[in-house]
Amino acid sequence: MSSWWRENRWWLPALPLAVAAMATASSYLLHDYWWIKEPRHEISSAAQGHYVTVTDDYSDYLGTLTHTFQVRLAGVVEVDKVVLDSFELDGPQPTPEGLQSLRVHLDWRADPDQILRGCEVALVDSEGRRYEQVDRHASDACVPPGRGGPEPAAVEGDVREVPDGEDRPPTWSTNPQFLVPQGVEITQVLVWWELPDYVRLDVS
Amino acid sequence: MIGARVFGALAVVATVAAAQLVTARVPVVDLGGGGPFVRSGELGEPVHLSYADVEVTDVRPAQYLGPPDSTALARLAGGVWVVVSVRLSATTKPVSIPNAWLVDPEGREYLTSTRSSCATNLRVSTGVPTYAVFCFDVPPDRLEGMHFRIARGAFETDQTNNDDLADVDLGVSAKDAETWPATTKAYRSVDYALEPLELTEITLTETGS
Amino acid sequence: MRDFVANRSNPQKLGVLGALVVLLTAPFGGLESVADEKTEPLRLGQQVDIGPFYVTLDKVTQLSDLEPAVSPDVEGAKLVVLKMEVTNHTDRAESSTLVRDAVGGEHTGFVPWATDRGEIVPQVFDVDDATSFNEFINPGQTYTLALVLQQEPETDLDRVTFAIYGYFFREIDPGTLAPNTWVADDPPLVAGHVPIEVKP
Repeated sequence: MSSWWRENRWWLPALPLAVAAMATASSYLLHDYWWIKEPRHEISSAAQGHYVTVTDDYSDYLGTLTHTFQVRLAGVVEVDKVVLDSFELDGPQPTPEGLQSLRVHLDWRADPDQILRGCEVALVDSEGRRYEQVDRHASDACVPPGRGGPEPAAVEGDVREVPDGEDRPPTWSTNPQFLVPQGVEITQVLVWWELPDYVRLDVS
Repeated sequence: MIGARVFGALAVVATVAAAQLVTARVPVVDLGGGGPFVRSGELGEPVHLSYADVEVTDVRPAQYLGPPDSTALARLAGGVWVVVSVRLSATTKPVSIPNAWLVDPEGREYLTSTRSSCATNLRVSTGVPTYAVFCFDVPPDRLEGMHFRIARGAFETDQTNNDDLADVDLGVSAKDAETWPATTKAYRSVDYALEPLELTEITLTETGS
Repeated sequence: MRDFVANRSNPQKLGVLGALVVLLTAPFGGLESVADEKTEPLRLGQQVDIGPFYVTLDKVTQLSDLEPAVSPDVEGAKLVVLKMEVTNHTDRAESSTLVRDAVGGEHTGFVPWATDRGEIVPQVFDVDDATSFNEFINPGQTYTLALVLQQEPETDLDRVTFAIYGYFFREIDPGTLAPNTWVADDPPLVAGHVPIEVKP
């Protein structure tokens, strides 16, 4: 028996390392199909009324890009009317029964050369349910309309540049609109560009 | 010894051959799939899935469906248009629904029609009802006992396994199966929206052909 | 037994080995006969089973224009319309592109549509409502379809032949593991000349 131990004295400690390597190598599916599918990795947070400075990576056709910005949740306010689809030209409609229409007021600060287009903003309630904007044609939730600043490279041949006349000012505000059931209590506002990384802003 | 090597090689080949015979001839239990978790319901009754609530609010036959562009030609059903109106909402977070389909009592599956301009894939919001209309071109002799199915996985690629799926009995009776193929109704196609969808009847005008 | 084998000459041993190896291919399909594949003559009104569909070529017509449905996009070209009845006789919905791609021909004088980048692909219409048709045809469903192609005006119609190809069903593609695909088969199921009705 002791000769068996002696013969295997290098293999035995190597065994747990080998098992760990195997598990890691097989776990790429977990990354691609689970980890990056939801907001799971909080990179920054702030309470309502306070700015938070965020440095975040996301990728476009040309590779990784990093952006730095400051964002503050000014407030979440209930409003009477809602735009269900920006492509419909009949303007804001009265909120359907049983639902409430909320506007999220966000204040931003960033250098005009920072690429900030293409974000998602979502609300989380006290039960942990997540709400995204219902208007599938809503304008960008994080940059001012018509002055969004530099665009990422979406397809082959694209350049990261500012479209003519769309330079972004160093400070601005956005107010994306949400439709949620009546009676839910919104506790958080999440902002993200590329999952699983997200910024959490607490509602007070 | 050469004899032993040859014997060994032949033994390997023979084993592989025998294994192939077994897997080819003997039915193998599909352990990988697992099948969907079917939640059944009826017309007008909500079906609760882990990720969404689904209710089929209406089903009706049609002969023609007019696309949203009212200057375009109406689509004539090859069999009968089966027009299914559905109300859905997501339970805890928004969900994408790739498509809906019909299943007949024999288990044959019927896809939505792209030329109908009705709903195919849609995004369903949390807690907020989305209204959708799905249209199917169904052979007139396959109407009775049709069930409507919808899930967040694509059924054509077996992505409904191990996940909730809604199965709604559309209540197409033997009498409906007889009268529906004779319908002359024509409706304007609708897709999906956040407000209840009305199926409006349209009058068709002949164009020279 | 060992002595018996050892006492055989080498060619005899190899012969037996060879025979054994051939027999061992049996479970892999090695002993199945090659299917007899012969092209039958094409006839109007004759139903052909191309795999997913029964297809019947009802009529072939040549004309100048089919507006408002479709017009030639090459100056002076004629249109050739193959009117076909198509029935999905399987238990699964199947794509109408399988019908579109099952038709071939020789001495056709066909000219590609401008949007097809040099490939000759028919445009497909539902004859009963004159609308463009590219659908999954549900099981048990029948349509009358028109396959429309552009043709050089000087083509000798008496030399034109058509062919209809079939498909075989592959449950799992060994390369990509894609399930349930129809793969085009060769040679065509039917081929030959049929009368082409000429209209102005």
